[in-house]
Order: sequence, then C-alpha cells, then structure tokens
Amino acid sequence: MSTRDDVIALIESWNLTMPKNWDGDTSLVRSGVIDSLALYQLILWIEEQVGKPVDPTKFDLASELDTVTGITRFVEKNRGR
Amino acid sequence: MAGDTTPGMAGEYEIVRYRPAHKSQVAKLQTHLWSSDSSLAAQYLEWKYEENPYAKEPVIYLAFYGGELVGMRGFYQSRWELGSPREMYSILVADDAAIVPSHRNRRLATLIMRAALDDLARNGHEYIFNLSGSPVTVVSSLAMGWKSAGPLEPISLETGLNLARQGRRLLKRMSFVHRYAESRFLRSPAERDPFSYLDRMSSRKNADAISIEREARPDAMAELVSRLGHDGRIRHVRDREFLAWRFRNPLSVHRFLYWGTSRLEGYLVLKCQHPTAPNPTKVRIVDLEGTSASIRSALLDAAIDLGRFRELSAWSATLPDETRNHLSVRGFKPAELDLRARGWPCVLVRSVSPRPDESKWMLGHYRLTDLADWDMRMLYTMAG
Repeated sequence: MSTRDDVIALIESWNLTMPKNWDGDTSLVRSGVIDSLALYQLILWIEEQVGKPVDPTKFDLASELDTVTGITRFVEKNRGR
Repeated sequence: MAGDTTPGMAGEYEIVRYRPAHKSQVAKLQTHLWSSDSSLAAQYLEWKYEENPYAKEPVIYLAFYGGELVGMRGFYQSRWELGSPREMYSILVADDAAIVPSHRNRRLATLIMRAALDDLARNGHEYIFNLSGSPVTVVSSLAMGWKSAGPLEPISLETGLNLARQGRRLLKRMSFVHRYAESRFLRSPAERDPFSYLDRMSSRKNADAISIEREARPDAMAELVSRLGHDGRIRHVRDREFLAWRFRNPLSVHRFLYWGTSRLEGYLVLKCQHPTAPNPTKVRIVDLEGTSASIRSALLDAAIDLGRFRELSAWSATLPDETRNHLSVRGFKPAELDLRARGWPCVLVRSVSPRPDESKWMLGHYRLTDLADWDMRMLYTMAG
C-alpha cells in the first residue's frame, strides 16, 4: 500500500462524518471534519510514519495537513529526514 | 448573541451561551474534565466564572443535542499589563473544553469554537489566550488559527527512590491497565499528601526569616509586586483582587513561603492538585518574587529542602537567568521531554478577527507570538 492509501485507510477507520464524494483534495482539517481527538491521533500516526516527534507549533498545521494529498506529502517529505 | 443565549444551530447541534439555569448540567459535564465529584466541579465552575474578579457573567458556549448538553467551551476573564507607562488589557482565556464521549469525532469541538469566535468578534474582542491547554487542545487549536508564543520548558526535581512512581510509569505503558496508573492506591503516603513534610516543618521555622503558611496574604503580596516594579513585558496583573481570588481555586492546594512579616521582602507559592483531581502528586512552583536574588534563592532552597517533595516542577522559559541557574545547581532538569519535543506546554494566542492573517498579533508594542515579550508564570494559568 502507498502512503496515500495508508492515510485514507486511517481516516476511514475513525468513522468520521465525511463530506459526500470526498477525495484527496477535500478539506479535512480546516473544515473541522478532523478535529480534537482525531486530529491528535493523526499527529501520533504521522510520528509513527516519520519515526520522530512532530512539533505542530513549528509548521502551519491547518494548511499542510488539510487534505489527504497534503498529509501524504508531509509524511513523505519528513520520513527518514 | 452576546448577552442573549442563541447563536443558533450548527448542523445538528444547538449552541447557546451559558445561563445560570445550566449550572448543574455544566458541572456534570465538567466531571469529564477535572473531578469525578460533581459538587467539587460545581464549586470550580462558580469560582472560575462567577467569582472571577474581572467578570461576573460566565462566557461559556454550550452545545445541545436533542435537549441534552453534549459539549462546552469556557472562557474566563483575565487582565494583563505591559509597557511603561503601564497599559492594561482585559482578555478572555479559552479553557474547559469538554465533549461527551458519544459525540466526539463529529466536528463538535470545531463547531463550538467557531460559534464562540463569531460571537466574541461581534462583541469587540481582539485576542484570546489559551494558557494551559492539553496536547489535544493545543493541536486542535493550531488547526483553527491559534499561534504558539513559544514553549514554556518544564523542568523538575525528582528525589528519592519512588517505587510508586515507577510502578505508575510502567502501568501507563501497558495496554489494558494504563487507566489505573493514577489510582490513589498506587500513591505513596508522601504523594497522597505532598505537603505533609512541609507542613510539619512550618512550625519549626517561625523564628527564621522564612515562614510557611497555608493562607495567601494578597495585600502584602500585591504590595510587594507593586514595589518591585515591572520591566514592561506582558504579564498578568497581580493586584489584591486577583491574588485573593486566585488562591481560592477549589481544585488546588497551595502553600506560601514568605520572607518578611507585614512588609514582605519575598514570597514563593507552591501548588498541588486537589486529591480527587488528575495528577495530584506533583508539586509546582507557581510564583516567586523577592527584592533580591539572595532572597529568591533562599525561598527556593527552603521549598526544596523543607518540602522534600517527590517531584517539584516549574516552567523555566521566562525565569530570570539567576533563578534558572540556581534551580539547575539544585538538580532541576528538563522534564516531560516527550511533550517538550512536541512544543507543549505553550502559550497559545488567537486573533478573534475574521481575518487573523491581517492582525498585527501585538498588544501595545509587545509581540504576542514571541515568548521573549512575556513574563509568563504558572500562577497566571490553571496549571498553577
């Protein structure tokens, strides 16, 4: 499975109320679809993927992690750095 | 909506401003946050929002679903001073976020905060703060446009072989029993009453310059703060009214070390949580003042040596160099390293403007998003 598939599987596992016909570019964080505990779980999952702590105060979380495409890019950019 | 109670519907939820008739429901909801004791939660609610020295009308946003209270976000009033000549600002502090488990992961936290931000903007608020948010709150706040002023850099001094503490840490890492890690039965006697040794020592110290007391002296403390002056950085007002209110927090237990009698030359405030609250075993240094470095150091030494605490902690980010060095010499080390690596704990600031990107993020000439412009103390937050 690709990183993108992993991100989608993770989000689907939370049983969130998703917008109809959502795709990789649908806003998830700015729209509030992912918030509170789910958002924190997303950060923890990203940490597992990149192998180090992620400090959410050091980047624009709402922008960089807003979509499946953005989350995938963030993980791939930070993995192994 | 302001003083009225109807911001309206947000999806399937109705979000309203708190009214006194909601008190028992809110206290019950708050048992998810602070204490399983609903009467203690009600006392906390009254203290924080109704007895607050700067506002008597609680600013709490409530979410109802089919007539049932399922979520809330509270904002309590605070007053800050900065600059020379002194400027004062009244600012709401976001706190007390609770969602019942069956309504989590349904956008409710976002819906409540959006309703709150719209309402606060309509009522002329420019900025709001969050001073002691949990890691979950910090992450979700950042997603909604809050900014961190910087990490508060916790440090702590742990003393003695503590089997209870080590046992709790082990339990926290285990899948099925981690929820029992904070059980009262796993606390050592010193942890059940962290001030027991200090209290025994208090009667022996009366002949010395330092006295140890259970009660605040808000008049004398405020007079000392006023006498010492202010370097202009952003800090909470510490007047008599604030100090008298602050130490009545029913979820906290405080002890006071004073240097001087009617006219104080210094004070140090220690705090631990109420025994029924989460993490009641830690003792925290929440404020320290003195007319000289030697008095401040002597107060710290007295707290460390006479308290014999299993764990004594502080925030080091905005301490004076001399105090930070003294604590380092006494054995304090960076603490909560896993959380530090994630930027927590921190001061969060939010522009209430509908266009926060156009906001200056300044109070007077001081930058809200730079901790160098703050004189931040645990006393100003609910951590203290």
